[in-house]
Amino acid sequence: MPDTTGPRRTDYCALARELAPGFAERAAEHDATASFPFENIAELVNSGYTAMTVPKEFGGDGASLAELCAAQRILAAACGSTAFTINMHVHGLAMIAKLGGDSAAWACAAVTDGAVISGGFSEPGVGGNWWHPTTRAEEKDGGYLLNGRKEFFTGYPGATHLFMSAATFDDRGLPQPMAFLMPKPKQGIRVTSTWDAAGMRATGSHSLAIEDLFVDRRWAVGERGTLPMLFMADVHWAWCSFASVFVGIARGALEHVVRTQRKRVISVIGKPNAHLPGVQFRVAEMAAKLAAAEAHLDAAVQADHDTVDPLAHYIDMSVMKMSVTRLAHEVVTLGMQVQGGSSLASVDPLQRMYRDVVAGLLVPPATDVVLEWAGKQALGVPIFAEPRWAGCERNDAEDGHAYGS
Amino acid sequence: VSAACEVAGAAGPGYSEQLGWIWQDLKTGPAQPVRGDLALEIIGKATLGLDPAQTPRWL
Repeated sequence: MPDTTGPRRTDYCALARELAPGFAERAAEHDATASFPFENIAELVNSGYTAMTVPKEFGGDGASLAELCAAQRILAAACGSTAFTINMHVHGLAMIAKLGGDSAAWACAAVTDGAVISGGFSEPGVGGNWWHPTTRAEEKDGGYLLNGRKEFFTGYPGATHLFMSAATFDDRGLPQPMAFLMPKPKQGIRVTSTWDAAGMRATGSHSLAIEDLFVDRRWAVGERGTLPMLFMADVHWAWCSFASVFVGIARGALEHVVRTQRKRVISVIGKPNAHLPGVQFRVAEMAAKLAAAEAHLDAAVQADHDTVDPLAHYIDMSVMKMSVTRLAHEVVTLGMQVQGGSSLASVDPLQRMYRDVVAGLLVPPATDVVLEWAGKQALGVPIFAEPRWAGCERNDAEDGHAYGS
Repeated sequence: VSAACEVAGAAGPGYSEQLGWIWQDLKTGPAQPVRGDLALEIIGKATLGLDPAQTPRWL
């Protein structure tokens, strides 16, 4: 439960800075055992951090996207797993709240009282094409019966509520993707595989089987078939906050490398490693790449999100996430080279950051889909035309060239 | 521009020529102040908390 005895905190960056040292201290142990950081999540709930995106009309502070991303960067520098886990909650609630209506009202009330939301949109075999969920929702007795599988259900162990996608099918057999936000059910969900991975090990991103899960109609979020458009219109909350976690890890890595290289003395020069030209040049490359990542993220956070074409907006945000996470990965990789062999040792947090930051390249939006959509848009090729790829062979035969001729 | 040259490679001399001019113009970028190595030296020293103006510059 949130602590309501004192005045409500509204400076989420200051709050993140207060909580970060404790998270950093516990990060190695959670990483080593792949245990879920329940105590970190409890601190985030008790301090009011998890309620940051409850809008003013629902009694909250309505933290902006800029505030959210700035605070998340601070948490991520301390513990990438904790930041990424709570990111699902804070940005997910912002998107639900933006929809308004009954779902927004009860979700905001629940979060104000300490609820923690975990999101599940990834599924085996979907390959990043999230608008084609394979989890089926069939109408039944005032609700829906859900069957399917979910992967990477980040934060599942610590969640009180689940936010997940499923699709009903129309009379032509075409999927109508929709979303549900529900109190975590006691039956109908089975953990098929607990999260045990190379990076982001403390996120509890389990694989789940959804088996005859009955979901009351009141837990539906938005109308049938509207999920893709709703998600695209507010996607800046998702992709900017994702990117902020990995930028935060990269910033944490740079600061850690600088601290180490200023302290560590190399005997042949009798001075700290920081005086070595090679160290200086690589640190400069890290700083330059990090500055580019932060600038792109900040531009996306500050961009016009309201009066733009939803598809162009979605592509802009997706390209940003792809570029920023690639840069973040390069920053930490360079950091390993600066730090040398000792960075591989488990006592050096840099090796954890190195494994965590790789996840940035792999979390949604899928890079191949981003490249497909951004490339088609730039070339004026319809993005949603089906079949998505056919036609090249016929063009080749006709004029000897593929697209671009 | 490098990627554009690859994509346009098979598109005929007109495209390649135009890209060639852009490519050449771009190559003058790194030669403008601040030169790359000096920039890296200053950024690296500043990030590591060292005074970029201190002499001797190296060990």
